[in-house]
Amino acid sequence: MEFVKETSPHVKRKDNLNWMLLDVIIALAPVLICAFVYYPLDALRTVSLSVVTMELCEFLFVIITKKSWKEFKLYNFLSALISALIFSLMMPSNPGWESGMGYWIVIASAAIGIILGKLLFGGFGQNIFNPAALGMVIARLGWSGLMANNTPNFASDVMAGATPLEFGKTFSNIANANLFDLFMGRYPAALGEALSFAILIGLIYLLIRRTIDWRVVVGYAGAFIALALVAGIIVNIKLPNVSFLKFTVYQIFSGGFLFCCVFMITDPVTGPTTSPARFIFGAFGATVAIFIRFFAAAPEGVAYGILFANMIAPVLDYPQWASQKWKKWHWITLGSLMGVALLVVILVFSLKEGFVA
Amino acid sequence: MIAKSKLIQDNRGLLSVELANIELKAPEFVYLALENARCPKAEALVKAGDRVLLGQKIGVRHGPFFDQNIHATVSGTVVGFEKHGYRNGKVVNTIKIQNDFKDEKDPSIVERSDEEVAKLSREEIAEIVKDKSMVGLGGSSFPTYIKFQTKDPINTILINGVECEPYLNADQRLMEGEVDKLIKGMHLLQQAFGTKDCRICVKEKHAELIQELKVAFEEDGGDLAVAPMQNFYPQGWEVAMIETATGIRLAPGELPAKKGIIDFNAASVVGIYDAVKYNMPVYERYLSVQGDGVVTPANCKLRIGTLLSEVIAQCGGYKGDDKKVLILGGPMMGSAIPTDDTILSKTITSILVLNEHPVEEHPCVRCGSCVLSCPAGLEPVNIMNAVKAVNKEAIKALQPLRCIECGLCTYSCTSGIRVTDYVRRAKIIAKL
Repeated sequence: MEFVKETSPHVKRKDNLNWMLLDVIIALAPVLICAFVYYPLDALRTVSLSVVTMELCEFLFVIITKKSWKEFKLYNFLSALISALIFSLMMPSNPGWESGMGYWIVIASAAIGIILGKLLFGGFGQNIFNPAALGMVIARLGWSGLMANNTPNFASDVMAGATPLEFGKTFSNIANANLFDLFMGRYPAALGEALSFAILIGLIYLLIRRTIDWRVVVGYAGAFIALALVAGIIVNIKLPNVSFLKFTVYQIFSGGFLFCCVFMITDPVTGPTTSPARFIFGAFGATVAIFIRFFAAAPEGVAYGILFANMIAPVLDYPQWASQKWKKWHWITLGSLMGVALLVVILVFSLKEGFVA
Repeated sequence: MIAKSKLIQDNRGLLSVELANIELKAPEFVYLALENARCPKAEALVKAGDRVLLGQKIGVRHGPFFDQNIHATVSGTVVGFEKHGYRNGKVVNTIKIQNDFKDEKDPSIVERSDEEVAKLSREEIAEIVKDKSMVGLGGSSFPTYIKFQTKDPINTILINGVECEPYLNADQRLMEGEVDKLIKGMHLLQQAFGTKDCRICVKEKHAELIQELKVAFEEDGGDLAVAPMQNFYPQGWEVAMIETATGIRLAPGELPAKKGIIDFNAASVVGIYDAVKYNMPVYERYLSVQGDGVVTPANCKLRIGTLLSEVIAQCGGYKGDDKKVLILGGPMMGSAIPTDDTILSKTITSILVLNEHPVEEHPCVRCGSCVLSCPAGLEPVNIMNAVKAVNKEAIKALQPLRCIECGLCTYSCTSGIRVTDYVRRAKIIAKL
């Protein structure tokens, strides 16, 4: 009889990395299907281009580093697929197909995203930045004019022409917005990030399957909603016809907030590992996102929020102070972060002349 | 999956099988280890051809700060000295004794009367226990007499009958079968430590056993109690058990005695009673033989010093042609041994024969399941990364020495990484 020498423990929980990755793809499916229904040709072009680009980069990376195509494992394929799907769902519906620029933009920013964001750091499991968010930001910075080019393939009564975020920059417009259209994603926006109902289905699936950590989601959504609510209350005081509830709901369902909350900030590779740090990580990402949304020239800041949060993740995990138990510094960090953010929102919204209009 | 692991899944369908109770045949030969993990040197007091009696002192092990007597577990003739595997996987010298199946007791094995026992002080009990080389029978093999020498006042005695590892139920069997000795042993501890608060910790899911114990304690007079424990792993860890029983959470590295608590394994209590009342060292113990790689998984009473291969043979031998993992102890913390030519010492609670289930290792995705699961509150993933980076400052800051090697980090790892191995390496580096 042959005996195996192995170290304890000798039993293993029934779960698997490939299943975890597959779960994300399953959760993305409703959004993907809706995107194909809403923008059939645009979605087909963007999704296929970015999937091929990212898979190719990942494959070449494996061949270069591991010297054999056999080392291209299922998880390599699935993780690149996830990045590609998330990236393409965040792209505008028409980044310039007619001029041919669109094809170039998708390929270039997908490749830069995965190479700079992931492969240069050592590939799967080693990356600091979310490749999809990085690719998105590259596209936004490089081709900002074309990135705003969202052409809806359906009639939208309220916000024709502008995206809800541009529309909502003038706060008084929010009073006229149709929240149901917003919830159904029936307005000009990126391919997938507007489809709130489909995203929420994905969120429920991921939470049930425990593929994402609810702590990050709660930290991210909690901070975002708190800041939006405070801003909404001030807006409501200054503009009585904009209810603060409608303002908050409008902020939640417009732009990429929900999409990032479910699929991007929850990426465990680019986040911290301890529970208190995950709340702080989420809250930080949401704060950056809402600051850019309210105070910056760019219409949307969730992708920047993800990247900034990615940057502080190693700091939160620094061995000298990382702890799974809530320590004093966790409370101080979270408290001062939220305190400062709330203070800035309150001061700017209530004191700056002409800001709330 | 990003989730905390508290219960160990039964992926091999082993818990549904009721264990058979089998009588092991008394072994023809027993092999008693000279050295062991705690005592690197030993001397034998017998030579080949000598006749020895059950319970006779046949050797002495020399530990770093204590000596430990070796007692014969059968009566018979010393054949000589042989090398065999030991529970830590190493090869040790053993005294081989041929059994004459008479179990003739050594003249030193004289029963004390109840009056004599009632007069014993803690120091005297410690002396007896030391002389009979009693050690913690839960697997730690920590010399019991040292526990009796504590200077701190003791208010609470806890008996650890939790047996939190899956697949094991030797202690459960012991508590069912030896209630009498258990109760008397608990009274002995009450007497030694001068406190009435003595509780036995049993998992909630053993409702029947709890009921039996309660009835027995009631008949006995009612100053013993059962403390129901939760079913999670590692509830049997001293710190977790004390927390559930008394609500006190020990600081890392703190001895329970500092908080007025002392704890003993259930099997040790019976062993202490046997040593004090009958002057008898431990010569047999309850043992589970479990696993999907053995024909008849069973509970049995084992004569200390039996060869592992002999026990397996009596349980019907190995099942199937798969490679086997041979484990002494539980599936979470027990060590796999390289050969079945291994002697069974008194601290072995179970034998597991598992068919090999290789797990493919993937890159870490920092899901944090190990951090969520760690009962000691460590961050195994960060310790692993610090070990990979050979970053000594980071390793020390992460306090790997608080690790109890429960194995939950490897168990819960989504990527199938043997995280516990990295933490073990970190413990070595942190000590440098």
